[in-house]
Amino acid sequence: MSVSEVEAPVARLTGSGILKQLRFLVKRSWDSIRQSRLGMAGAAVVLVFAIIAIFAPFISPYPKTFEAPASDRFIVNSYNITLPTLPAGSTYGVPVMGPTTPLSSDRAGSMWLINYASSGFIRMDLLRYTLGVNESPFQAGNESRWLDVHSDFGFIPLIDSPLSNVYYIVPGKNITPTGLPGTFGSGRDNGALAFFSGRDFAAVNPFLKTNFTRDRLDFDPLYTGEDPASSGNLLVQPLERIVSVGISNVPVGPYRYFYASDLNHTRVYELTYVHEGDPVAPSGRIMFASNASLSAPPFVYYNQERVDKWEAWRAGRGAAVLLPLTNNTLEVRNITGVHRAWIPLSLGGEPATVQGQIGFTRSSFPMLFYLPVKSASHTGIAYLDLNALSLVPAREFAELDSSWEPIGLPLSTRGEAVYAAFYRSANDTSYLVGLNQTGAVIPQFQAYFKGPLRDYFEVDARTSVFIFTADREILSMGTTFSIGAVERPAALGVVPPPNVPHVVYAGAFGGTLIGSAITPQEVNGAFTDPVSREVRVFQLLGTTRAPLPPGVYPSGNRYILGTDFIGHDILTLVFYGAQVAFLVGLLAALLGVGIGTIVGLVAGYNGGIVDTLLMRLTDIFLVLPFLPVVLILDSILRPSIWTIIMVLSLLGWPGIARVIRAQVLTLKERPFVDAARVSGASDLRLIFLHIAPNVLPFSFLYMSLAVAGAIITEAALSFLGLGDATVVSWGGILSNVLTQGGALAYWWWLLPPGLSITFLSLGFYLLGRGFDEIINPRLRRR
Amino acid sequence: MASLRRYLIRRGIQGVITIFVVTIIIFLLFQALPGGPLAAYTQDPTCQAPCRAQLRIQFGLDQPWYVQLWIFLGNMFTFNFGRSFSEGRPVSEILAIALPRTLFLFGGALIAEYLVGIAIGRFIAWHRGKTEGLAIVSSLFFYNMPSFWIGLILLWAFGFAIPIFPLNGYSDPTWTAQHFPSLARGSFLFQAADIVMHGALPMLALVLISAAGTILLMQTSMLEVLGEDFILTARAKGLSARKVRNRHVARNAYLPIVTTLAISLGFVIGGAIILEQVFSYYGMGWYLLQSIFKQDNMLAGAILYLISVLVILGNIVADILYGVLDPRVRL
Repeated sequence: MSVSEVEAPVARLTGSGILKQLRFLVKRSWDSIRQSRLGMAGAAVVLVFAIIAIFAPFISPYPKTFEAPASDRFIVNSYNITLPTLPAGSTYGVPVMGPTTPLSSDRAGSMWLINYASSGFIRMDLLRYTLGVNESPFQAGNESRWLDVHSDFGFIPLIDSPLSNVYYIVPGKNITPTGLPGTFGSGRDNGALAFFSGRDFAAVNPFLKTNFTRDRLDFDPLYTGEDPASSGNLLVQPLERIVSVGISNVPVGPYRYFYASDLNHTRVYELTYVHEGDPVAPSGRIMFASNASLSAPPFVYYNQERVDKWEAWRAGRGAAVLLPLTNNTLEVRNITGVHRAWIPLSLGGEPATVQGQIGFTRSSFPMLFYLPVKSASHTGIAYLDLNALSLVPAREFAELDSSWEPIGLPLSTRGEAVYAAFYRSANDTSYLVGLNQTGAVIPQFQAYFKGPLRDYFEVDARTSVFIFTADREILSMGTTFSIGAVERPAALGVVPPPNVPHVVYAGAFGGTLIGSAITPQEVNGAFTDPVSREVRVFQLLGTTRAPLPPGVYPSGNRYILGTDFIGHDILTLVFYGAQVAFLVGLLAALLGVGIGTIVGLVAGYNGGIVDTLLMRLTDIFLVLPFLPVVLILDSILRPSIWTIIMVLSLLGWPGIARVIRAQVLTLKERPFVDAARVSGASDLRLIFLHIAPNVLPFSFLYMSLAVAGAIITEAALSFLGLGDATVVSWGGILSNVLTQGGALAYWWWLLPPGLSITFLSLGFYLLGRGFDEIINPRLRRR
Repeated sequence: MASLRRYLIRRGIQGVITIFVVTIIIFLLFQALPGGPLAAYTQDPTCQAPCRAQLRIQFGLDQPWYVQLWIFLGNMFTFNFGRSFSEGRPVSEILAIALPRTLFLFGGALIAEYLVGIAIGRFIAWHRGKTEGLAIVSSLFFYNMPSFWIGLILLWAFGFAIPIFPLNGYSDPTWTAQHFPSLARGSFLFQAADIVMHGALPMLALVLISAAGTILLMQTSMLEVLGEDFILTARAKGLSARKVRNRHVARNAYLPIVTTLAISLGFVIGGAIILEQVFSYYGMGWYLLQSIFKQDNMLAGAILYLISVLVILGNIVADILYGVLDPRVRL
């Protein structure tokens, strides 16, 4: 039997306190470690990671919850052209879309993108459906039309005031002589324009450059508008119809309605326009005039499917003018001007007035209108049923107080949910809310934004609402709701230049704005930059290219280790993950080894029944298979860091208990113990002050190894999804790599967390090996 | 020899008692799980009234807890595991399929890693030098790698970047037919190729990690023995280096290896849980995880029980082997 030279150092037997003993031991251990190369290497690695963990908030390039901005993460197809220069002092306004085949989905039509300026210039650019992915929809060459209202249409007298609003009139379907529905005409050069220029109202044929209506108002209009069907915003086809006049059948319509109002005078025009090239010549006339005092702009509505043949198809529920009066009523008139009803307006039991643009449903039925109303103490939405000519009983949204103002246009595609926004200037906040059919808030769809929202619109094909905020972000919020989830605004990845005032919905290039057959890939948005004269159309469906490889990106950010699929910077995640690794590793090991050491001490010293019982208990725990039991316990308890630490220490203590007990058994027989006992030391004192310090090197060794093991086990648990989801953990970062399927190619995401786990665990393991070489000197180099 | 027999008997009895206690712990664990034992027969659509009545009798689910415990103990000891409600099949059927797969995977890995580990460990402990440093460092590195990470890297390297091996599953005749067009489907070679190719990557991952541990262990153990005086004596006697290494040093160094091997046998079912998940390899570990996620307590309990039994057996075998190989231990 060889003589083992160095055994654990015998602790000094002074009456000094535990702290001094501990300090002495640590110093002794440090001196010993220094002699071991592996131990030093391990200590160095651990130190580096510890510094990273402690200083993570300071050295991380980005904050913990940082996500890469949309401009880095998304690829959005967008195309642009530059408009011609205008005379000084005049800029382009908000573009208007002109779909030539409003309800058809055969993509044989085209979309006119109309920009106009106050100087009287109108520019029409043709967009067509493209098959190629990167093919621009703009049709170059002589497809663009450049019009000047002052000179091109033969107005006598000339139109001389600034152009304020231009509207597109969609082609309608004519009727064959036998009474069968005909065609819409060409899919390209089709449609008409109507515009207001100062007090002048006119409607023109932009292709033949002729005009077919001209009128001069006797007031300066503040608000003008078009009926939704004529602009392509109603799921209803404009149709020519037959009326019997005497013995002959005369085709009439389709009728298009326009209004102009300054809230004290209102004029409604009726135009008849079929389509380009139809033998029936378009015409127009003033329909009626009203001088009622309005609280908000009026609304003209003509729903082809809800009118009947009286009055040459101008009668029926589906043809109406809504006049919101200042005396808390809404007057409904027939489209011919005949008064139909006065509807009292109320909100929250109080009388109310309309305070914004009246919204509507795009479907042909139900004929619901959304009135943004304000009463003395509430602001909200009242639901108007045009069929019943009354406010829908008990259906209203009245939850906001009167400090809010309605903004934008509340629209609903199918009459199920409506999306409306309100703005409160006191704290400069906008509130966008989704309301269901009963006027109740949809809990999953509510959002607050800074500043007044510039635009918002629902796109059914994308099942989202798109929002252009005051800070110039384009966001989207989904409209498919799942229980418990909350819709969060997500960036689209398109950043309009600073001068763009509004973003409009541009529909599908095949000539359709709304319709059930449009695919999400086909819908677009558009804006015009008045300063640079750039018109951009962009797809409303961005494709994400996250995870991003390391490098510099459009936003100017540099991601040294790239990002994961959400956009988190990997380097930041790795730094913060060190904190969790240390926390879990150290605590679990400390707890486990602490318990194990105490158990070993007690069992070894006392012997007898206590020893047997404790050792049986240890055996039971030793035998339980570690990982399966950890998994099961983790799935029972709520997975948080603390339960993981508890579980790990619970299953880790038996390992050291045995070893400590064996050591204690040998130490028990040594003379210094007898000496202490003779001098009157109690059992407790003996255990903790005399024997314990000599077994501590083993404890340290085991603790190092335990930390290494705990780090790997915690990573494995997080990887399997049983870790704490609220903290950043290296295993958690890797768990998403697997669930992303084809994410195996993203080496910048795969390697850093794994290397961190490996190195930190290695560091502690080497530290333990260093201790091992002290305790077991035969391992040292000879 | 009498002492050996006595030792055997003593350890055997201890083992049985331990299994007993562990089974009780498992039972208590599963009582605490959400769903409890009742989940077994209320959520299985393929198990209707007659099946449920049978389960109720079999597991005594409407009896007081101590009766349930007794029935549970009896069931476990007779390997009567009941019915998995997430799979809709009797548990024994599932185990019969999954067990051979895991045994193939882990058994193959075990053999490979011990051969590799012992050879390399022996070599570097004997020839201390540059290779030792490199081998130790890389072994340390692989030993501390999380198993799922190695799995992911191998998946990327050999399933994706250089697509030699399939990405997942235990067996996929379409993949094998694609990559081995010369083999006839259904033939023995075809099936063998199928299984081997699918098991290769998880096995490789297992070998990498465990071999590293074995190398380190072997090297440590060899060094301990090398420090003994009798080695010096053997060299002094004039024995060749090779003889000294193989007959004297290695044989004595094998002791901890053997005991670790025996203990590893106990983990043959549960040792590859994470890797089976990464590679979608439908073995015991995969089924264990699935049953935990789906709260299928019958299946999870059965697998846990089997794992525990094997671990206890492994410990007993390890103790006995140690007792046989090192007479000093036996008391």
